[in-house]
Amino acid sequence: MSAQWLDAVAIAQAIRARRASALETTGAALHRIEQENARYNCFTEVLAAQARRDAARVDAEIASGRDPGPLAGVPFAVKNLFDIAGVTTLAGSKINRENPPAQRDAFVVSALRRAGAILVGALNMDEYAYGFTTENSHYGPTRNPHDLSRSAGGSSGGSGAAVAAGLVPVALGTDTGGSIRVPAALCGVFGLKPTFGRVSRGGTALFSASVDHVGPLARSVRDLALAHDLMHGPDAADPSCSAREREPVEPVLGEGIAGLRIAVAAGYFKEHAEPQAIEAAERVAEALGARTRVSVPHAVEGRAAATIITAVEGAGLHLKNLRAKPGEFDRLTRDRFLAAAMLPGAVYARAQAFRRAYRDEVARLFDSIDVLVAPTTPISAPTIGQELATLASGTFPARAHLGRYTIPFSIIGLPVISVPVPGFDLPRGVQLVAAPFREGLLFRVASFLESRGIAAFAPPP
Amino acid sequence: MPPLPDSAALARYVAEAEKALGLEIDPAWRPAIAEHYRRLLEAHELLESSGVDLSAVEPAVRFEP
Repeated sequence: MSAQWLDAVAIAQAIRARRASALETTGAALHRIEQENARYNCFTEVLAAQARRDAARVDAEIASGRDPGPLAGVPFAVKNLFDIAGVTTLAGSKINRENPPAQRDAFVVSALRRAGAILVGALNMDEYAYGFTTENSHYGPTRNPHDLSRSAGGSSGGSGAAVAAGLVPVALGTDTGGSIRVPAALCGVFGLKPTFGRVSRGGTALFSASVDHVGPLARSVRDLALAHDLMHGPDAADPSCSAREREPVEPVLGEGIAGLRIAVAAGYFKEHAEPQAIEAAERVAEALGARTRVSVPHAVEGRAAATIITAVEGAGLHLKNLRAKPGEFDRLTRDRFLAAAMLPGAVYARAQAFRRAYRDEVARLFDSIDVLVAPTTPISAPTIGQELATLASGTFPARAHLGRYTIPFSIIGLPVISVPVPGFDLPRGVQLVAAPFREGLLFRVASFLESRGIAAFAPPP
Repeated sequence: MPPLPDSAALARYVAEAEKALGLEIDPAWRPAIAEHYRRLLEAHELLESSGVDLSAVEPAVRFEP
């Protein structure tokens, strides 16, 4: 296999065993980015000098007999809403360009760098993470490596495309309504949205404070697991971060699925979709022997509550700039924030009340099952600029429709892995969903699917 | 679900809300804002007609003194 497609674990093993050097590996990644980024428009900042310095330090540690960590010399990149010391955190906006550089790395960036990973740059996204297509009017659209005329998904589109294009093996993103899972599915890579509170958001520009999650995208399950294990755990500096003890998932990867109660989401999660989206979920279900079909109660309303909550929280966060310089926002973001700013507060309070009732209802569903299977997106990657998605059941706004199946799970903070299911004309993803803080179950299932070839990354043509 | 305000009423509301919030909105943006506002109201009405007694539930916003 070409070094470009090695996963992070394989790269780190080679570097720790001195079969490769961190400096050469980082240099090769920077060369690929220099050669290929113009095609995809993933990176908004490349940190070449810093990356070479860090890589030389990793090589020096190995030469002196010290272990730099499980990600020794592995290049990675992050959505440009994560703080990077010395770099201005754009969050996809033009407005933030005027901000001073961040003083320190975000919690998760720091965690991966401490484990020996080499940060090579910051990645494109929808403005303020409010979108599903990374059609950013300030920095241009990120293009899908599988078809350059199509969107990479969003809002972590730069992250999905950079991993799928082989520019880095691992990238970080955030997910409010699907912003890790949608680009993972559309670009054909694995994506983890952990339980709300599982991973610190310290040093991350928020979109919707009560809903935002941080997570990794990768080309293998073991990379996703390693990133999770390094990043999760308490952070007193993030009030949303759980105080639960760490629960690494790497030890359970090989445990298989024996004894797990796995069901397939029916009803809402089979409606208004391309047949291939349903087929991808059915392939996964068949491989898992999942014959039980369950309905997620009030999924439609769960999505509606999320629409209100995220819009209002985002509008509140940006109200000062909406007043002072509305013309500097991306049009797609601005109009939705302005509309939400005008909404009566009681509407938001009612949505938060519904959210709690919905959470309790779905929790009861997980009394009788361990893992739920559902498509990640109802449609494959839309073309850039595509407004509508026409399906057998009707015509839908393409961008918003991408979040149909992801939003009902993130609004109640459930952990979800989106796995890529190969064999279709364009990448397809399937969600594995569990009860809060049961990431270990998801990793057992994802690893099983990967071992059977049902879930796999396939390089772009 | 009760009928939502018509587009003229929404446009009037947007214009009034602009003033109340101290926003300076390009008139060309108003139709799109009104459309997004309509979608938010639709979402709200979905919740109100869900059959869930929202008055009996504490909103899911955490405050720790």
